[in-house]
Formats: sequence, structure tokens, C-alpha cells
Amino acid sequence: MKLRRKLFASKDPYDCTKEQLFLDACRENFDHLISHCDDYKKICEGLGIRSSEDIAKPEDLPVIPTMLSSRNTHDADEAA
Amino acid sequence: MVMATSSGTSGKMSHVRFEFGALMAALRMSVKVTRYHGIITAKPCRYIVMGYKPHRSNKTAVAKVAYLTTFLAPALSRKFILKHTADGYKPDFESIVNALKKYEKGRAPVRFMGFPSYTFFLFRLLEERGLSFKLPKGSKVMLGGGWKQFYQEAVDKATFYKLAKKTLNIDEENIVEFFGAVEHPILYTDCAYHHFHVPVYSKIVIRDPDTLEPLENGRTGLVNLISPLCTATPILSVMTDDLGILHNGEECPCGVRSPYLEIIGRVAPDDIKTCAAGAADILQGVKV
Repeated sequence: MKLRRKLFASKDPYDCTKEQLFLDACRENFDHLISHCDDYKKICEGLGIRSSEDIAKPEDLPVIPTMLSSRNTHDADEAA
Repeated sequence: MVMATSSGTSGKMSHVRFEFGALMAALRMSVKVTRYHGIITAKPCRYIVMGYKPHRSNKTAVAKVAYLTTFLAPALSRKFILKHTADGYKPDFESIVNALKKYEKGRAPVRFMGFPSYTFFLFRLLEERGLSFKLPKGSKVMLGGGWKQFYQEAVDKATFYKLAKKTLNIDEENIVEFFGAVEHPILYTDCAYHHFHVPVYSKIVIRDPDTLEPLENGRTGLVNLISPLCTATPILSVMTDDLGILHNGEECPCGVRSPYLEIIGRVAPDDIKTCAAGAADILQGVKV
């Protein structure tokens, strides 16, 4: 999770110039989740999102309702 | 790997696992954000946690975060209002009142940290008893965890600040609020104008409740929270049941240019209790 590390190392917590880094870190996270969590992969495929290339902006990320995590656990197999 | 849960005050608990990398990222974020807002200091202080006393049975994120907050300045002492008993957690307002009587005479600043509901109930109790304290310079009230099932007890911020001044002599500028969720463990800290600006680690999208299409800033909709913090649980982009508005950062005079979130309420408040029931629950305590 190199890009996550870079994002969370940002000096200014309200820096508005890090939008591309944020998107890239989200894509990196998405790639990890889709290859380590079957339930997440199924949800994404159901929405027609198969890889991070389908994500042009953060709004395109598959949205998971918070109530889902209160009914089930969908942990990824292996942490990065 | 660390497991955290939501408060589950409505009986529905979210379970989220955090891997080591996420914990390290969260630590870096917390240090940067709290330093930015002047909350990290070297001056020792006394903490009054208006939340849970840590207990092995309590895995809620709100309990962990409130406890961790007591490390933002060296702690001379820690008092907790919610104490674990055989019947769950019970509030102990008397011990807090007695502590305030003692702390008022000292030099160390006092920092409150915890639920706004319990903090407000303390203010009301002090007001009813005609008690007011002049706490040492640098004392703060830090709020987090929301009003939960005591939603109907929530008061407007102006009333809250007025009571804080009246009962503890703490000015509005020394009242800080945090916002976050176990499913979106990002630290939102309000600015001098009490706005929750979105930090670089996250993005908020407001969506139309019917179509789920993103709405432009200034319109009310469902709050979608996005952050690449955690990989052990798929909480990359989560939809809450909160209704909110995202405002342009330029509308706030504090100088931060990132947009800020205003929470309006909840979509399906089936866990919200009436004023009377809420007050009764506060006095009886809560089960975790």
C-alpha cells in the first residue's frame, strides 16, 4: 500500500492538491480488496466494475452500505 | 490485526478489522490533524472522559478513540463517567462533580473528552445545582461519538456553548468536536467556525436518496464516505444513513479551502428515542 503511505504522509492535512494521489490510493485499495475479498468482488462485478481501470473518479467506487457491516463480516483474506 | 465495533446503541453493531498498515496510517493522520488544530500539547492536564472506562468486554471504537485522546497531552489523571458494572455501564455524575471541585483549585488544565449527550447532561446538572467552576487556563471540552440514541436530547451548538461557559467557564474557542465512524475511521475535527472540513485522507460525496447520483455542493442528500485507509475490511466507499450537505470550503472564513460537511440528520431514525425515554436511559446507563 505504497500510495496509501504517501497519502497519509501528507504534511498539510487539508491540502487540496492531492486529488490524483487520493484517487490512485483508492484504486490501489480497490485492487487489493477485489483480489482478497470474494464478497466484495461479487458486489463489484454485479455493478459492472471489474478492475480499477473502471474507476475514473472516487464517486465511481462501489458504495457499500454501512448496515452491511453490521449484519455480516466481509473481511479481506490477507492484509497488505 | 485489531477489531473495532460501532457503539451498537440501536442493537446493530458494525465490525471492522484494521491491519497494521491501517493503524500506522491512522496514527500519522491523528498526529497531523490534532497538531494542526493545536490539540497536541506538552502541558500535562487532567482528563475527564465523558464516555466508557476501558474494559476487556468493550470493543467499541468510540471507547478506544476516547481513551487514545487522553494521550494528546500528558495525563496527570483520568476520570471516566461511564463505569463498567455487572449490569452494563452506569454513569457516575457525582464523581465528576467532586473531581471538578478538586481540579478547580489546581493549575493543570482540564480536558473533557466524550459524548456530547453526557457532557450536556453534566452541564444541566451543574446548572440545576447552581454550581459553576472556573477551570484552569487551557481547559478544553472535546466532543465525539455523536448523540447516538439520545438524538432527541441534542441541543443547538449555541445553547451547548453557553452552558459550557456558564458552568465551567470554558469559551467556545476551547470547544472542539470530532466526527468519524468505525466504518470510516477518519478524524474530522471542527475548525474555529465549527465546520468539519474534509481532510486529504478522505472524500465525501452527497448522493440523491432516490437515484444515488452524486449531487453538487450545497444540496442535501445521503452521505457517502470514501477513504483508502483500511484494506482488511472493504470500507473503501461506504454509504451511511446520515443526511448531509457538503459546502464549498471558501464559504468558511477559517482559511481551510477543502469542503466541509454539515450533518442534517438520519434517514430512518428507528433507533431514536423520545426525550423522556432518552433521559431515562442516560440516567440508567447503557449496555455494551
